[in-house]
Amino acid sequence: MKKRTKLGFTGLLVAGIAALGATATGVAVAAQSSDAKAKVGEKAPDFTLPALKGDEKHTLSDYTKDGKIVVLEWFAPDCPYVVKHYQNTEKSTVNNLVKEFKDKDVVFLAMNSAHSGHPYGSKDRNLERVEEWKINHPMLVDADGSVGKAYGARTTPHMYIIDTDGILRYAGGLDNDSSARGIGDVNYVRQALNEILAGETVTVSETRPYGCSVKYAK
Amino acid sequence: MPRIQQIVSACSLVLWLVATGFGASQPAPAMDGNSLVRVSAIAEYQAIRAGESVSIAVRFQIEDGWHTYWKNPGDTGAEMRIVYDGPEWASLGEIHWPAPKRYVSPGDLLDFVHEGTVILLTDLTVDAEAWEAAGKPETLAFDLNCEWFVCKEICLLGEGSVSLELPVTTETAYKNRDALQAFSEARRAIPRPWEDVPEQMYRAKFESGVLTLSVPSATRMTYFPAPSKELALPVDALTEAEAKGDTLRIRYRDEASTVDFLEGVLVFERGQPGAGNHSTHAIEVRVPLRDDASDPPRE
Repeated sequence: MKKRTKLGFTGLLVAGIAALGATATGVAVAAQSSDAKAKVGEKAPDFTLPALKGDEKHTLSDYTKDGKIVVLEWFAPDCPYVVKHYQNTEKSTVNNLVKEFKDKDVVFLAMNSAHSGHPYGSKDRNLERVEEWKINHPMLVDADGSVGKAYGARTTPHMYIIDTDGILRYAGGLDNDSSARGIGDVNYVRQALNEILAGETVTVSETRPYGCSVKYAK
Repeated sequence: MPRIQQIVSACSLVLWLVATGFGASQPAPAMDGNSLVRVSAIAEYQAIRAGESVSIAVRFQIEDGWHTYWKNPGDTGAEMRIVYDGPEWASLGEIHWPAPKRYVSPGDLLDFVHEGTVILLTDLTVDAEAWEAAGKPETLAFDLNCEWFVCKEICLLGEGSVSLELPVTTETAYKNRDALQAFSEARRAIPRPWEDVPEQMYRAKFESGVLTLSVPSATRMTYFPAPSKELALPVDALTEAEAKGDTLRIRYRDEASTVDFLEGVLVFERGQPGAGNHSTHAIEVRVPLRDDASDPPRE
C-alpha cells in the first residue's frame, strides 16, 4: 500500500464521520419512516412463502418448532450491496455464513419482496444469480411484499435472526461496512448467531441496514 | 480499495478548471453508476497557508431523475463520501451538507436525498509542524476520491476522483475569484449552524419521548434527523417529521434516552409558495436532553 493510503483512510473517517457510524464504529441509524412491524425481543411474524425453485413452500414456524434458528436475508439480484456480498463466490459473506452454521441448526432463507414487474423481481434473473453465485439456501418469493412489510424490511440486504422460540433477536445490516466494496470487520449476523448459540444476550441486536430499497409493489 | 487515478479533462466542467486551485474529473469508464454523477472540486483560495485551512467545494452533478443520499440516507441507501488521498501533512475536515429532500418509495420507505447539483463543503488543513518536517513542500497535490450510491428505479454505485493542486505558502493567500460563485451558492444551501441560530427563531422541547419543534409564523416545517450511531431517531419520520403549520411533534425511539443531544436539520417556510412573502430557511437544530433545558443553549 502506498504511504498516502493511511491518510486517505483518516480522511474518510473524518470526512464522513457523522454518517459513517456504520463503517467506523459499528452501529448506525434506524427506521426513519414507520414503526418497524417486527420488533427485536418480540415474536417474529410467521409466514408461508413459495420457493423460487420447485413447488415447495416454506413456513417459518415449521423451522423454529423443529429447533432451528432462522436467518432471513432480504435479497435483490442486482443491487450493488447484495452483489458486494456475493460477487466473489469464494469469499462470499453470505455463502460462508451458511457453511459456517450449517451444522449448528441454523437455516438461512433468502427473501425477495420485489414486485414481479421490477428487474429485481424477475424469476429468470434470480435463478441466474442462484446458479452464478452458488446460492445453496432457499430463496423465497414474496412478490406482494406482505412478508417484507410485516418485518419492516427496507433494504437489500436486510438481515433478521429468529430464535427457536420464534423471537426476533437481531434486525439490521449484515456487517459494519456500508461502503461500496468493503466487507466489514464486524459481521453482525455471525456475532448474533454465536451469542444466541451460546445462550447469551445479543449485544448488538439492531443496526441500520444499508443497501438498495426493497422494490415493493405500489 | 482500488482507486482510479484519473486525468483531469475538460468537457462541461471547464468553468471549474480555470486558473488557480481547481480540478475536476471524468468518471472511470468501466464502473456502473459513474456516468450518472459528475464530480468536480475547487478551492476557495489560490493557495493554502501552512497551519491554516482552506474550504473546498466538491460539486456533484446528478443525472436528471436520479438521486444520491444525504449524510443520514434514511431508510435505505448510503451517503456520498469524499476520501482525501494526499500527503499526510494535510487532512480533510467534516463535510457540510445542504439540506436534503424527502423521497418516499412504495412500502413507506423514506429516504433523504439529493437531486440535480449538490455542493458539499469541507475544510482542507495543512499541519504546519508536519509540513515543516516534510521539508516545506511548495505544493500540495492531492486527490479527492468520491463515492456515491445513485438510484432511480434501480440503484448503482459510482465513483470519481478529482485532482487538485494548491501552492503552500507562509504569506497571505488570496481568494480564488473563479470560486466565488460556487462558494456563495454552496453556503446559501447549507443550513445555518446551530451555534449561529438566534434563540427566538425556534423553540424545541423533548418530553416523554416526543420532540416538539415550533417556529413562529412558519407555514410548513420539515425535519431531517442527523445520523445517530446510538439509533436515537424518530419512530415515524414519514408522517411526523413534515407538516403544514408552525409545529412538529416527532416521537423518538427509546434510544433517545441514551444520548445527550438530538440533532438534525429543520427546513421551514414562511408565507405561501407563489406569494411575494414566501421564504424558505434551513437551520441546524441541536436539542439537549437535560431535564433543566427546554431550549438549546444558543447565542
